[in-house]
Amino acid sequence: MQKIFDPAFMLSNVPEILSYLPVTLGIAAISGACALIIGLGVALLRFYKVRILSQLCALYVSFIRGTPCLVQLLIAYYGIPVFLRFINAELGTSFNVNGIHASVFAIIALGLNSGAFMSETLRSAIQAVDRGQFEACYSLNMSPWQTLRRIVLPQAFVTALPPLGNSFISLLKETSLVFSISVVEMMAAAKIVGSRSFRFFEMYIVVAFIYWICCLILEQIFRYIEKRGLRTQRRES
Amino acid sequence: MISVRELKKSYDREHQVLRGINLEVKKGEIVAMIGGSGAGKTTLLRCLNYLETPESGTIRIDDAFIDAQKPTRKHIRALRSKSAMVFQHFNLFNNKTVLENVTEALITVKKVPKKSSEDRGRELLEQVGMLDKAAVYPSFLSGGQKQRVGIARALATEPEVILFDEPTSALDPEWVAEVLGVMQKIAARGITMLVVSHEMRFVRSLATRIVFLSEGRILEDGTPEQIFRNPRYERTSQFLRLADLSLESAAL
Repeated sequence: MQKIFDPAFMLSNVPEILSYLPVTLGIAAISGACALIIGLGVALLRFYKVRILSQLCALYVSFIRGTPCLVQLLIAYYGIPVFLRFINAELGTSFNVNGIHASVFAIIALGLNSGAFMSETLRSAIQAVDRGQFEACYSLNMSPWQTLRRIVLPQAFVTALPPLGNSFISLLKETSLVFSISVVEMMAAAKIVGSRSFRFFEMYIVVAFIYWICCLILEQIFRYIEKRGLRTQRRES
Repeated sequence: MISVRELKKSYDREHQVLRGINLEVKKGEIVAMIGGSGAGKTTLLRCLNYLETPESGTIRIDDAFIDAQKPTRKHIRALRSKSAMVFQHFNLFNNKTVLENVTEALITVKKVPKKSSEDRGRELLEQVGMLDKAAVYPSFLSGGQKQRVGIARALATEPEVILFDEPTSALDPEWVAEVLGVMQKIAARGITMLVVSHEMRFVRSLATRIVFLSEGRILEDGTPEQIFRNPRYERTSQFLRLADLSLESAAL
């Protein structure tokens, strides 16, 4: 008789699932880096209330917040090729639409998704930096860019770290959706292995634990960075 | 050396803060700007550094000149390079050590090499008695210590004039004396100083000149002797009486 729950099967398939971990981490890392850049750019445009662009950014953030990540993935997967074909037809360019790997769409969609959330975090963190810090810079004749890079952003990042850490953790978990646009990563591997044996439950337990462990490690990394960032501040007793 | 002409500034249509300020300051003068709250002292000071944008009038410091009706970025930078500000709430860079606070502008603005910036920074910290805290972050300092670092930071770029915006009014009484001591030291070196202050000890003992502002205008302008002995306006003597009262209570 077939076992109700098969731990031996579960463990024997861990290596196969784990072999897709680099794909998951790769997508998370690259889209995370994109998200941080997008988030910072959007945050600055909105902080400085740059005309037109800041309104467009607000629209973008609103759209991302108001639609499910899965839908965004599908829109990117089907929409970007349509857009490129349109460009090809209109401008006579020759982008090889079919040659684009699905993971590129995944990275674009996840990067844009996470970037919107990070931009809100960063904007509020920049706003939380004391006005006097800006004034001190300007009075010393530092340029707006020097002011941001050397004084304001380092302080804003410390404030932003805990919510940014949450965003990264969410992003890592959201990579589990990209199988829906045919990218084979860890979650996809679990489904594939599961369907071979009809032992889906065991495989989902395995991926759940792998995600959990990854998130725990990420949490520790962020805790460490935050502690380093806070060394400039006296601990309130 | 400083020449302000017909400087006007309002925050909204109703509320005019500066109603045409004319002020000439010679090199080495130590000018105390006094007046009731809302008189425009701080606004005037901040306009000299262009932290506040005046609507009309002109400002000249040394060879930097700006016309408030057509300021360019270049003119603003030139003007700012002539002055440095000491803030009421210190505004030290929280993410920089005491030494880095002093060297920051030298490195980023004046492009002085790191090594010589640090030598200069240490020298300045020595002068304000803060050298032993060079590696400490501002949040670990007392108010008086912070303001001494603030003064060292302002001195670093060797400005023509140092603008003090109520430098002691955010301090606990016990720290006021040490900051005044440092200011006295700088004053003795002949640096031009414009000081918005309610600290009558400073006004009486250090200032070479007193400017009394009221409702956005300069009402009186003279030596401390003149202003304290025979002010021209009743409003001035009224204000001085109140200020003197606060001096007495501080002495108690």
